[in-house]
Amino acid sequence: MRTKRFLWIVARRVIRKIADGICLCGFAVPVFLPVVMVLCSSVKSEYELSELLSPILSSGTGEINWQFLSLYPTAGHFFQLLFGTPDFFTVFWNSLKIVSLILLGQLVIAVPSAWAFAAFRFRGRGILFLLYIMLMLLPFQVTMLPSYLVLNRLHMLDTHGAVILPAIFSTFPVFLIYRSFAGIPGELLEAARIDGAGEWSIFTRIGVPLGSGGILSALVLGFLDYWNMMEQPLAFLQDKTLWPLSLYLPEIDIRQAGRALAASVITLIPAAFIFAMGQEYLEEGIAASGIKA
Amino acid sequence: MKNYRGKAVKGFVVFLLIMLFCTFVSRSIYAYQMPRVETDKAQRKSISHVVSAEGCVAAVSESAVVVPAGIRIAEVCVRVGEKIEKGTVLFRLDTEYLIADAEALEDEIVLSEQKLTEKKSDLKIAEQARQTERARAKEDLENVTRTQDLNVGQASRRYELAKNEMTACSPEDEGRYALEKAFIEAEMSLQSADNERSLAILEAQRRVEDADRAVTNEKSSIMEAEQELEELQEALAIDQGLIAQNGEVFSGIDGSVSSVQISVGEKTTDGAAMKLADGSRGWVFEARLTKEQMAYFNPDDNVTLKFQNGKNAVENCLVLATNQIDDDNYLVTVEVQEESVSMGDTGVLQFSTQEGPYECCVLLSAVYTSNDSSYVFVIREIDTILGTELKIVKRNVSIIDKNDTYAALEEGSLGEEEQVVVDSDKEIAPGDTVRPMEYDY
Repeated sequence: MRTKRFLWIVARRVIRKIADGICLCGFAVPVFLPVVMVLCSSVKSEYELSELLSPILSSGTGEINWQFLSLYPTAGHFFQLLFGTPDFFTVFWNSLKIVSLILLGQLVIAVPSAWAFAAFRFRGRGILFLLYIMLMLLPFQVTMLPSYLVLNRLHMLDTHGAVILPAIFSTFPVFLIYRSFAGIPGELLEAARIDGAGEWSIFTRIGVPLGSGGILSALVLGFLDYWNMMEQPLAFLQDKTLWPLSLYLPEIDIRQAGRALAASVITLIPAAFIFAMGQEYLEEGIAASGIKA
Repeated sequence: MKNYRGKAVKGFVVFLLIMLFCTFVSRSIYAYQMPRVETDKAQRKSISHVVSAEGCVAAVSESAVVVPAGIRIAEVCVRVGEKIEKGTVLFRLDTEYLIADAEALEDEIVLSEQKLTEKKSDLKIAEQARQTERARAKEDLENVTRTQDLNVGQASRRYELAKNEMTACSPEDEGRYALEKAFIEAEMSLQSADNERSLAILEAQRRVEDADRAVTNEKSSIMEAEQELEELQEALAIDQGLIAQNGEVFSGIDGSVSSVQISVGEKTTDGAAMKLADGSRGWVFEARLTKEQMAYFNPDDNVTLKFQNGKNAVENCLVLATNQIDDDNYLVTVEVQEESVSMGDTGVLQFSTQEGPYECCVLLSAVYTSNDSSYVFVIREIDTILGTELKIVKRNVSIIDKNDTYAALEEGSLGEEEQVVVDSDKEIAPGDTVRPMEYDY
């Protein structure tokens, strides 16, 4: 009798797990599907791609017929991209430079800003924070024209500075980092002040280490955002030598679909690495906000 | 988790290093594969044309050496191109054949003389008969004329009488009808007599003419016989002359042998046995020019002749004539003052001319031709992700003149600052990315 009950409990748990897995997979598959399609298609031969994409390439009618497994898999597209397309590397390093400088700038600007909002109580703090949130909610299309005018006046158009400078002063990382700084108990800061620590010491020795999760989360999310940034380079960069990856991929002719897919895979890799490096902090940040809530 | 994060960091660093390596490799491969080109701008230039045409020396005039046909050649003493002087033995005929030929000619002459004599006596007899016949025919003519005149006279009188009677009778008279009938009959008789007279006189005149013509054929036959006899005598004289020279045929001029139509052991034919170029009147150089070469040729210009076999070149030669041989070729005859040349010497005729100046000239190596159209490749700077690069653009052009080095294009074909590709180390096509040629110094 006990054995039966025990088996029934185990079976129920297994069934529940399976059901949960199926249900979650059902939601996860559409999310993963595009990535899987890109990965599978990047090793398809040109012949297969031209056959599958013929409704787009030639006739313009009919439906695309897709297959996951390739009949004639090839690494030729990657070879062609990595050893025969030097302009890809130009845009790759441009993207890396832009993103690195933005994140570095945000570390310098956004972290102290978030600390100021979290650690200090000053007049107009609420209104200012509200303003930050409003700015965060404004789409790029709204701020594009004033940004263009300012950058033009500063003679920064058609330089990487036109993309980096506005992003450094983005309000989104301030908001994210503020949440982690806000979680530091005020009593700890008071205690540090009582112990004679200056504000800078409190910020660097207490605030930043305890808020590192939020900072790293902001950096990871910022990397993912700016690595795929498109509107700002399109609006402010005319010189093709300054273009990032996000503008290069649409330039690839659809007839070179293999190369475009290989470039997409390569573009995914840094983001995957960054996410892998910051996944823990992202999860901690999400979990911590949940607990606090 | 730290391990996982550490591996991710290492993996990312390795990825970046791989990307850095691939950056250099891809750039190297890209640069290596890129064609290198040499460019030049269009220039203002004159196009010079140096035309060379091969030809050979020919004589101003030629003479033929003719001997009787059917004589066997015993020896040919000269060859084509050999220089000869007046009195040089050209060839020798077999004297036995000459003697036999002369004897045959003598027999023919005898026969011919006999025939001529017979024809002359026949002519005499015929002449006498003719004169008799002529006198008779003349007498007949006179008689016929007289008789017919009488008949016509009678008919005419009857006609007049009938007419008068008819005129005198009034139309209401009963005998009018008979008079009219008689008048008509008289008129018809008159016409008939007239016609008869004409025919008879014509016939008599014909007989007189026939009598005159009777001896014409004999006369022409005698003339033919006399001519034949004369020819035979000439041929005999030639044969006798050759026999006296032991069958040797000499040259009558200074010059060179231009052609030999005979060979040892063969018999002579009716045509020229040899042709001799007369060197006393000088030499000419004949060269064949194409239609394209003639476009640059001006007969008033002086030309240069360069001979093979180490002979001196001759400059400033005068052009004597240009003749069209066919649709695409012309024969140019040039006077040659050089004494060292001889008949048959080969050489090259050269002349140069300058056309232009043209505003837009490029090296001929820059011009490509396909399907009767010409084009050049120009380079254009374009902005790419790698920076300013040079791309090849095809530009259709029209060639208005060219020589071996330069081509003149229609004005306005190319811009002043446009760089035209004149050379490349690889094949290029429109749209290709290229870079300037580098030279090792």
